[in-house]
Amino acid sequence: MAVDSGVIEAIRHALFGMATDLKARSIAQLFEMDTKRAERFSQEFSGYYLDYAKQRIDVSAWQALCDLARACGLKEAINALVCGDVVNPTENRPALHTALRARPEAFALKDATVLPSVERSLLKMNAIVEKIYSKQWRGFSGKAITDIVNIGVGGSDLGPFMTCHALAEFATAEALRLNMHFVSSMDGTQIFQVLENLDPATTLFIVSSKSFTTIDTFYNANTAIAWLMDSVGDRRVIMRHHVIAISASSEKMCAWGVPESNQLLFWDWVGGRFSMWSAIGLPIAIKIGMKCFRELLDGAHEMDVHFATAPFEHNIPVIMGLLGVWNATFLGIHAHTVLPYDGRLKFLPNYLTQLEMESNGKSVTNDGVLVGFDTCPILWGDVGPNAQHAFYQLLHQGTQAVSCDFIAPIMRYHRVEENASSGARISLVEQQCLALANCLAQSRVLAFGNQAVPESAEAEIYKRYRGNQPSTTWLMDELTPQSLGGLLAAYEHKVFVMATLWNINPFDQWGVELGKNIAKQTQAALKDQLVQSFDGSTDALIRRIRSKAERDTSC
Amino acid sequence: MKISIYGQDVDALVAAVCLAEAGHEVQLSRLGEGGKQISWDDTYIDKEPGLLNRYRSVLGRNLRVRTFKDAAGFGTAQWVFGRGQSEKGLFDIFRSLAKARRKGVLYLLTSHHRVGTYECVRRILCEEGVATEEDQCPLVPMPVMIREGVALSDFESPSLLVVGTTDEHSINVVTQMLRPYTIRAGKTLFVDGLTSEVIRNAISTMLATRLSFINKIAQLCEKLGVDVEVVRDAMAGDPRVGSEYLNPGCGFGGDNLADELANVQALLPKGSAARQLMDAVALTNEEQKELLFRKVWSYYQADICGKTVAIWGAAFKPGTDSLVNSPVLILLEAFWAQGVRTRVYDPQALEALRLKYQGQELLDCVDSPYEAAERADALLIVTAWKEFYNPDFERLKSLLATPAIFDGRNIYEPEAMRELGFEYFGLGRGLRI
Repeated sequence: MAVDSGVIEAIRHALFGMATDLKARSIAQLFEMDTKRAERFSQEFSGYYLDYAKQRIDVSAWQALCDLARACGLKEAINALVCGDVVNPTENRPALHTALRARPEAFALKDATVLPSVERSLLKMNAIVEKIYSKQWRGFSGKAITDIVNIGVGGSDLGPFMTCHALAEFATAEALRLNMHFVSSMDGTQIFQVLENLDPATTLFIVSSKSFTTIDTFYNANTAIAWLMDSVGDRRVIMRHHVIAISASSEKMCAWGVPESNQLLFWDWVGGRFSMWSAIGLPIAIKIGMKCFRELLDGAHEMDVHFATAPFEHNIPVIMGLLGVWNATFLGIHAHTVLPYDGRLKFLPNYLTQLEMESNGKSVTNDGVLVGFDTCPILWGDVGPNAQHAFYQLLHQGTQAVSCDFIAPIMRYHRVEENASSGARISLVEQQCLALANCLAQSRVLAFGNQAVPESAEAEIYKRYRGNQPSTTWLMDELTPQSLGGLLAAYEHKVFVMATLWNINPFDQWGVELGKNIAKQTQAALKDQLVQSFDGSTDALIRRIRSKAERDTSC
Repeated sequence: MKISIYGQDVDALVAAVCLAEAGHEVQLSRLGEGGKQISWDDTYIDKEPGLLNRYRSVLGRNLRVRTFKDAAGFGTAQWVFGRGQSEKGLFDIFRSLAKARRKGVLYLLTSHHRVGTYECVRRILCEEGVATEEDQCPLVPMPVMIREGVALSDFESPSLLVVGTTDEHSINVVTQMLRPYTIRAGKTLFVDGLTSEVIRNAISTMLATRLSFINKIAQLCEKLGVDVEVVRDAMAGDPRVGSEYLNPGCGFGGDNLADELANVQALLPKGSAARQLMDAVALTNEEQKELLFRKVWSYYQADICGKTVAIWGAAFKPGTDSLVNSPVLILLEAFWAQGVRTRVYDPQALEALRLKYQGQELLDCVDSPYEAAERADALLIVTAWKEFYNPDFERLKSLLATPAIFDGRNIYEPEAMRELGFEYFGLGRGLRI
C-alpha cells in the first residue's frame, strides 16, 4: 500500500485535536464515561495481560491511532522487517533479529541462507557451552575454566547482562560452579576489580563486538591479555584457551589472533541492541544452558508471529507502540519510566533505555527532512518498589507529566519449594503479594490521585495527589526464559511501530559517532602529542588534567 | 549353624566360603540389583586369589547355592551383603526376608549405604513383625573391612572386627558363627548399630583424607623441589602417622572410599567447616585424577591435539578388573576432548574398558605395554601393576616418539630414569613442570 502523506497529515491533525480535548479530561473522568474501559483497553496473549485502561486515551483517539498506523503502512513495514527487506536505509541493510529466533516455516525470508547460518551458529554455541560444562575447556595450565568474563559494551553487554541476572534462577547445575562477570566501561574500573579476584589459569574471556573495533572493548580486552601474559607469555596459547571472540567480522577476529574454533560469527543484519539473540547471547547460554536459551528464543519468536499476524487492535507490540506515539507526540509527555515489580528485572530499564533511545532518539525522517513533532521520550526506570523510595515523589507531586510501564510476574516462588525452608517460602510468597499490591496501588494513585481514596481529597495542599499520570500494566503469569523472550521482543517491536509512525530509521545510531572520533584528538592532546587549541573551556580542562596527571602518569 | 548369605560381590563369596569351611551349613543366594537372581562364572570367582579352589572344595558339601526363596527359609542367621543394591533394593530384600521367616532369626547387614540405614532396616523388621520397638532388634550391622586381592586373609584374620550389637543373645550368635575368626581378630568391638555405622564411615573417610593429604604434600614438595618419597618415608617412620594409605597417587578409585566419603559429606551441613574439609578431600581426589593429563598438557605447551599417549593401567588398583571411579576414566575423557589418541594396556581391565567405550575412535586397547608405547608422545602410569615396575627400558625408549614418562604411582626412581634417558615426571618428585 502506498503511503499517502496527505492522509497521514490529516489523521495527525485530527489526533492533535483529540489530544487537546483529552488533555482537559482526567483519567478518572474517562473511567466514569466508559464503564467497559478495562475490558476495552486490555489485551491478553500467551500468559501476558496488558492493561492500558489507565492511559489517557478514548475510543475515537484509539481508532484514529490505528488509522494512522494503517496510513503509515505499518502492516507492510512489519512484513518488510520480518522478510528481510532493507529497513535500515542509511546503512542499506535489513534488520533481521526476528530471523535469529525464527522457525523455518514462519516468515518468507528473502535470503534463504539466513536460517541455516543462524542454526550453524547456534550449534557452535552449543558445542562451546558443552565443552565448558563438561570441564573440558581448559586454560593454559590444563585446569578447567571456572570464571567467564564478558567484555563488551552497549548491545554486547546490556542484553546478556540483564538476561543473566533476570534468569539466574534457571541457571543449570553446571553453570552454578561457574562465575560470570561483565566488563564494559572504558575507564577500566570494572576490569580492574574483576581481575583482582581471578586466577588467570581458569579464566575465559568472551570478547564481543559487532565491528570488532569498539575502542572501549579493546582497551579492556588488551588489559585482560596483558594480565594473562604475565602468567603465560605466549599470546597464541592465550588466544587458543582463554579467548572466545564474537563479531560480525571474521577477518578482524583472525587479525587479532583468535583461532577460527574460538570465533562465533553473527551478521551485519543484526543490530547491536537487537543482538542478544545471536552469538552475543553466549553468556546467557552458558548461564541457563542451551535448552533454556532456545526457550528464550522461542518466546521471542511467539511474539514475532503475534506481531506479524494479529490485527492492530489486538496486537500487543502495536498497542504499546501506538500508546508511545500518542503520549510522546500528541499528548506531549516527554518522559517515560519502566517499573518492574520484580528484582530479577532490575536491569531491564537500563536495557530498554538503549533499545528505545538509541533506536528512536532521532529527528530526521526517512525522507531526509526534520520531523515536525516530538519523537522518543526520555526513558529511565528502576525496580518499582525501590523507586517508590527514590523518584516516585516526582511522579506523584512534581510538575512533569510522565508515562509509566508497570511490569509484574504474578507467580514468583512456586519453583523454589525445594531450595528454601518452608517457613522462608511462606514469608517470600507474602513478600510477592506485598509487591503486587504496591504495584497496583501505585498505578491507581498515579492515575486517579486523591480520587483513588476519596476521604483524602480534603487533605492539606502539600498532601494532595494530582493524578492523571498515564500507565500501562504488564502482568505475566511467571518469569521464565520463554516469557522474558516474549516481553523483550514486544519492546523491540514497540520501537519499530513508533519509528514507522514517525517515519524515522530505528536501526542506525549516527549520533554516537562524532564524539568517538574527536575523543582520539583529545586523547592525543591530553598526552601532549597534539598542540591544538579547542575551545576555551576544553583547553582549560585539558590544562588542569595535564597538570595533575603528571603526578600519577595516567596520561 | 544354618546360615543364609545374600549378595553379589566377592565379600559375600568370601564370607560364604570361610563360614562353610568353619563347619557351618551355608546357603548362598546370588542377588543382583533389585534382588534379581544372578550367576557367577568361575572366572569371576577366580579374580580373588585362592578363592576358586576353596570355593570348589566346599561347594556341594557345606556350601550350597540356592534361590532366594530357599535360602530365606533356611538360615537361623541371614546375612545380607548390600553392595550393588540401591537403598530401596536393600529394604525390599529385608522385607522379603522378614515375610519369609518366623521370629528367632538373626539378621546381619554389610553395606556401604548411608548412616541411618540400620535404623531404616530395623523399622522394616518391626513393621513386618519380626522385631518389636521394645525388645533388642535381631539386626546386626557388620562393617566387614575386606580388601580386594587379600579378601580371604582379611576375613580370616581381621585386624579389626566391629559387630553392631550390644544384645547378649546376638553377641553369642555372632561369636559362635564367626569362631574361629573372632579368636584371630586383632580387636573385636561390640557396639550399637548406629555407632558401628559411624565407625565404618569414619575409618573410610580418614583413609580418604590421608590420601588427599599426602597428595597435597606431594604438590607442595613439587613446588619446593623436595622429594616427596623422602618426606613420606620419614612420616611413615613416626608411629603417630604410620605408613598405611600414605602413598601419593593419581587419585583413589573403587566405590568404598568414594561412597563413604559421599555419605559423610551428605551428613554435614553445606558451608560448615567440617563439610568444607570433606569437600576438599573429595575435590583434591578429583583433581588428582586429572593431574597426569595436566602435566602432559603443560609439557606440550597446551597444544596436544593430534598427539598420542600411552597409558599403562586402567583398573582403579592392581589386582582387579574394576574401572569403578578409576582415574583412567577422567584421563581418557580429558584427552579425547582435546583430540588426543590414547593407547591403553591393562592386564585385566581392558575388556571392561572396551565395553564401556565402544565406538570411541580415539581409544586403542592393546595387548602389551610395549604395543601401547609405540610412537606415543608420552607414557602415563595409572595403575601400579607389578609388571610395570621393571620393563625393558631400552626397548621402551626406542618405541616412544618422545621418551617422557608421567608416573601417577611413583613406581620409578627419578635418578635412574634420568640416567636411562627419560624425562621423568612423578608426583612430588622427578622433573617439575
